[in-house]
Amino acid sequence: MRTKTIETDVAVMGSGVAGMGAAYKLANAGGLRVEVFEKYPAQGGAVSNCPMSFCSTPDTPEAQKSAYEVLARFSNYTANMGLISKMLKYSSEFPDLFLNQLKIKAPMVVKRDPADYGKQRGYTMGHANGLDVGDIYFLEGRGQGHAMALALLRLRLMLEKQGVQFHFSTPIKRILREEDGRVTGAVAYEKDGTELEIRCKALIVASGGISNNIPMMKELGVLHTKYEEAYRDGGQVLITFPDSCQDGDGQKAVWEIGGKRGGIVISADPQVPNPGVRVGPNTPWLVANQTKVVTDMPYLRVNELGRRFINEEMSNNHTSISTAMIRSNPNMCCYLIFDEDTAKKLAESVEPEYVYFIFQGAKVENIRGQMDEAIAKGNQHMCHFDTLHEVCNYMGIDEAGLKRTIARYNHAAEIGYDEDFKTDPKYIRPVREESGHIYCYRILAGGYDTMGGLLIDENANVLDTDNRPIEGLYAAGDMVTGSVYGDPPANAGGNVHGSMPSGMLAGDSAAAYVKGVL
Amino acid sequence: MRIELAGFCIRCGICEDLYPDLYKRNYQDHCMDVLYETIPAELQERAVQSAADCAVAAIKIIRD
Repeated sequence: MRTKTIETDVAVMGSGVAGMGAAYKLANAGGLRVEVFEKYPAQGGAVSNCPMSFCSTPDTPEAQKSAYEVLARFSNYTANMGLISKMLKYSSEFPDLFLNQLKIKAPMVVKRDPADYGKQRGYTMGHANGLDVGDIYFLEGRGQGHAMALALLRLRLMLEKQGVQFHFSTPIKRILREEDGRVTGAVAYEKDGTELEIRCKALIVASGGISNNIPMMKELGVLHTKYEEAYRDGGQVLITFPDSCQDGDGQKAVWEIGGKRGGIVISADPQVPNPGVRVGPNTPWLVANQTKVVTDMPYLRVNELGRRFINEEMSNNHTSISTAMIRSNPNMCCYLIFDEDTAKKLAESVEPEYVYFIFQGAKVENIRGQMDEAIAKGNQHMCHFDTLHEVCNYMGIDEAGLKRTIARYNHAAEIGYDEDFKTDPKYIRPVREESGHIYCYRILAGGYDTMGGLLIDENANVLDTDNRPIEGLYAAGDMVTGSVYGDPPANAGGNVHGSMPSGMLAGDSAAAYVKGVL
Repeated sequence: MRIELAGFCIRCGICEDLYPDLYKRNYQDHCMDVLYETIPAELQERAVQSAADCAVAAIKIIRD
C-alpha cells in the first residue's frame, strides 16, 4: 500500500455545516495551516439537504439569557451548560456570515421577543421547540434547492481563497493518540487507496450522523423496527441525501481512542415513507401529494397496540412526536386514523396552525385518490377501508386495542373533555365506521440525520470516559448534540443553530490550543 | 446540446427527482450521471430547466 504524510496545524474531519464552521474560524484565526478531509466527493453534509432558514439568538443580555434558560431546561440539564452559553453567542454571528459575507438573501426575517422563546409549538418557526430561541431568517435558495446548500458552497469557495485546503473523497478512519494522551494526527485514505498519515497539532471531528449505516444503527439500538427498508436510501424516512457517506467513521474513530460514548438517536421529522409521497428518492421538500399536510394534523394517533400515546396537539412538534415518542413505540411507528367525515372536513379546510411552511395547503382534496396513487406506486404505509377491522388487518394494529381507544376518544369528543391526554376538544375528531370509510397512515420516526455519539466540554474538547477532555481533539455538529440538547439528544435535528456554532467553537478552541493561548 | 456537471455538485439529487429522464445517481462513484452524451432534441427544454432548478448552479448547458 502506498503511503503519504501531510503535516498541518489543524485537520478537520467533515465538511458539513459544523466542519465548515470550524474551518471558517480557523481561517480567520490567521497563521494556521488548515486542511479539511471529507469522505464524500463534495462538501455539505446533512444541512445541505434541508434548511431554508436559520435561527440566530441576538447578542443581547435579554435574548442570550432567555435562550440559555430554555435550552438548559429543554435538555433536562443533561447538556453542558457552559457549552450552551457559548453556542448561543456564536449563533448571533449568523446574520453577518450568511447575509453579508456569503450574500445569501433573507426575504423574510421574524424578529422575536426573547420573553417568547421556548413557547412556540411545532414547525411554524422553522424548527421545533428547542430551537425556538431566537430570530428566524428565511433564506432564498437557488432553483429548487435550499439556501444552505448554496451558502456552504460559497463558504467553501471563500475559505479556499483564504488558504484552507479541502481533500474530498478522503475519509479519515483512525485517530492517532500519543501515550501522553494528546491527539497528534489521523489516518485517511485517498480514492486510489493511498494511506494518508495526517500529522496535526489538533483534530476536529465533525463527520455527522450514522444515517448511511443501517447495520451500525441496528447494532446500537438506534433503529429497531420491522420497517427497516424504509430507512434505506429513497425511503425518505431519514432525509439526508441518499448515499450520504455518513457511516459513523468519526464516532468509531473517537471511541477507539478512548472517547466517551453518548447516546445516538434518530432525530426530528416523522415520515410516511416513499414511494409516492415525494416526487423522487432525494429531496424531501419536493412532494408528490399532500401526505405531509395530512399527517401533521392533530388527529387521532395510536401505536401498534391501538393505544394513544400523546396529546395529538403535539403532532407537529417533531421533537416529541418523532425523537421521543414514536421512537419508543413498537416498531418505532404510529398510525394516524380518521374517518370520512374528517376527510370531508379536510377537503374544506385543514387546521392552518398545523401546516408547515414548506408543505403549504389550505385544504386536502381527494385524499382517497392521493392515497390510491401512492399505493399504486407500491406504498404499503397507507390504506383506506370501510371498516376498522380491515384497517387493523392491513396495517397490523391490534383491533381490540384500537376499538377500546376509539370508544374513549369518541366519548371525549362527545363530552368535550379528553381525560387521558387533555387534547383540545376542537381537534378531537370522532372516528366512526358509520361515516362510510376509514383512512390510516403509518408514520415512522424519521429525521434529517442521527444525532449524538460523542460528548464535548464547553470548549468543544472531546470527553473521555472519565469526562476529561482529550488534548488536541475537538468535535462538533450532529455527533455532539448530546452535549448541546441533552444526552441522549432530543431535538428536531442538529441543524444550523446547533451544528455551526459547535463547529465555530471547535475552530476557535483548536486555534487557541495550537497557538498556545489557552 | 450537452450537459456538464461541475465538480462542486453537491449530489443533492434535485435533478434526478425532477428530471429522471436526464439524470441518475451513481452510487459507485458517489456522483450524479447525465444519461445522454448528447441531449435529444425533445429533452433539451427540460435540460435547460434542470440547470435553472439546480441548488448550486452545478449544471452547465453546452450548446453545440
